[in-house]
Amino acid sequence: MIIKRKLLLFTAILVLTSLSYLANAQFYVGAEVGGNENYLITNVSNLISTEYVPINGFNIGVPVEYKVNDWFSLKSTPNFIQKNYQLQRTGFYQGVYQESKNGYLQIPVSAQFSFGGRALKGYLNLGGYGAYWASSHIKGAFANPLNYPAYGTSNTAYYSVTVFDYETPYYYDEKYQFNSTKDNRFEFGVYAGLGISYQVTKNYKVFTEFKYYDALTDQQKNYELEQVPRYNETGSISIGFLYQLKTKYNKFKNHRFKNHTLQVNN
Amino acid sequence: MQNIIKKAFSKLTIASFTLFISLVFTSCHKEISTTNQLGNAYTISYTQIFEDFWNSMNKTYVFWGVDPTNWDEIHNTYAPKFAALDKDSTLTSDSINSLSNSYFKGMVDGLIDSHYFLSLYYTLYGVSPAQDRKLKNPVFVENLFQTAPYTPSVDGKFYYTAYIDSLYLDSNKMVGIDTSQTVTGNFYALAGFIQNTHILYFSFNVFQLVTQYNSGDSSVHATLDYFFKQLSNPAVSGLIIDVRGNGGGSTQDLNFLIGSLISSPLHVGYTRSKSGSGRLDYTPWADAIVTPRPGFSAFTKPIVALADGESASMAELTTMSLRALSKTTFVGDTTWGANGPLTQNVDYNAGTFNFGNIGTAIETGTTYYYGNAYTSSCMFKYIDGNVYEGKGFPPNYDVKVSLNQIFLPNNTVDDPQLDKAIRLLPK
Repeated sequence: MIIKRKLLLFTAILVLTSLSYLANAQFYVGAEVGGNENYLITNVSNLISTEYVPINGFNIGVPVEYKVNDWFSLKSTPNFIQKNYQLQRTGFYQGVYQESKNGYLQIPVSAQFSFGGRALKGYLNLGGYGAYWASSHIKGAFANPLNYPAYGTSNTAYYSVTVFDYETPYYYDEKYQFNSTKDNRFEFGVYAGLGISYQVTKNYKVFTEFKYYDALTDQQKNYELEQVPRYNETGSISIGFLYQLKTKYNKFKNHRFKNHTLQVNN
Repeated sequence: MQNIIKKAFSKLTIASFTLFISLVFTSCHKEISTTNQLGNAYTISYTQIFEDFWNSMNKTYVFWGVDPTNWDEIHNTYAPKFAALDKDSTLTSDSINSLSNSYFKGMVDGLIDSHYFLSLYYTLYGVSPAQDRKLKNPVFVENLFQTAPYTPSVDGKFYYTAYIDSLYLDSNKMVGIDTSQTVTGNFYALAGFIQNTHILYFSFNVFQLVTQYNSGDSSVHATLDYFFKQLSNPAVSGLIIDVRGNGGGSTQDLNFLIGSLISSPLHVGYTRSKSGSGRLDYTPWADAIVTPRPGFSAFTKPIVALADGESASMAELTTMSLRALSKTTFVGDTTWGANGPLTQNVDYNAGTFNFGNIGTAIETGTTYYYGNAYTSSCMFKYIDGNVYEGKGFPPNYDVKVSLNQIFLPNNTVDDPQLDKAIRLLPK
């Protein structure tokens, strides 16, 4: 009985709190673009003269902010983000590489904590994200084992420096064919962002934000024993704007305020 | 009341903030470790040797995408068996060697790579899964076409090609022999016209054509020159290229031989290798191209490729390349099934490797290994989209032969495969 009463009280508080905050909340929607650099976190030390290096990508999104009060908002920026990287060989095998440009549809959800003045504010986003590996494009080169120069001619330079002085390179630039056994196309991770925003007009604000996405799920399915995992780690810098929508709660708030003013005047 | 709720909410928010901070900055990936580079793992137990071999195979074997072997299951089955070799003190060293040999054989028995040869240096034992499969086939006749026809064979088997020389070809034939090869055995090449026809016949025992042409015996050079000169002879009515019993060799011979029959690049298939250490990390398929030889024009007469169950590797690629020409017919038997090109492991981080580093000699610096796996560095897919690794390339006319059929009394032979080839070509 006591538990029921407490539960009832808790529910009532929750509803009242929500209504209270909804009544005061502001809803923003906007657009953002940015550039990023993605690191594939893995271990290829068992491969000779081989390394992964980060390469740049871009991201474009639609930020949606639900401002609960001056210092706290809920934010989500559904976006398309590239998480690119390159596998390359070094030394004698320099020139052998594979660049992977991976497109993800990503939905981060975060709590945003703001600080600063009325117009210029700093903020911190902390949250998580889910993403779907929607596309991948690969470009690269490797030594073609069955494509020699015509007999009597030769690739071999007088002083051969790299593998392509001996072997004919095979260049490719094509859509990656996902492997349903190997590729894990769903990614989940944590997200943190640090930004500043400036209230340009009553309804518009612009912002720039550094974001860091850290995948907690392997890019591969668990398809083999002794598997070496691969995680995306992405840092991006975005700029964008947010427009304050007039929600029914805002309208309700304004309407109430007007009525109240009228009452005072009366 | 509202103030109380707001305060409670603020506290809740601060708690959430703290929780998020903790989550973000304390979250970390699993520790990412991996195996050592090939051959670097110092192994002092059977468990370690097994793990080194299993991991090296997992990483560098190129056929996992098409090989039906369940390599994880192999691990689950054999890890406890090798561990038992380390623990069972009742086993003698002979019985340990015998058991480990049988375990390694069991692990690789089903692999489709038909170049695959596992050498266990420590126990002086070797396994060829493809050879074992072939010998179980009652139709397969081992060494039917010996590859060194002009020197005695230690097993006393037949030198069949020598009979072709004397019984099928006319008197203008050319025979080139190089006996200086110590590693690969003697080299021979045979070119001439089938008696009473204008059918040009060419045979050789190993793909060393470029090497032999440039630095081999003068008789080989002359034979090859004769053959290539006849390709432009308008009187030639057809061509037989016989690679039966030919175990393969250098891929550079493709442009040298097939390149002399074409005037534009010939797309014969695709190759791919590994692009990472994951079992299914592959490069895209690269076009496999035969490039025409300068100074040669397209050979427009019908061609018959003769190959059999002992035609392997380059002999198969040559047969496949000939079949990619519109006027070629393949007569004989399904080939060996070893199509993947081989090179040193470091080139693609795939292929042949040593395993089980058992120590380095201080005086010489030589590292000794428990064993070596000889395996392809790349996978080959024919132009028709099929991977024939482990299956062999099938003929258009499947003509089976046996020793009794071929070797007749009075030192004569009857070769049903060659007879069929001759029948298919204009005289």
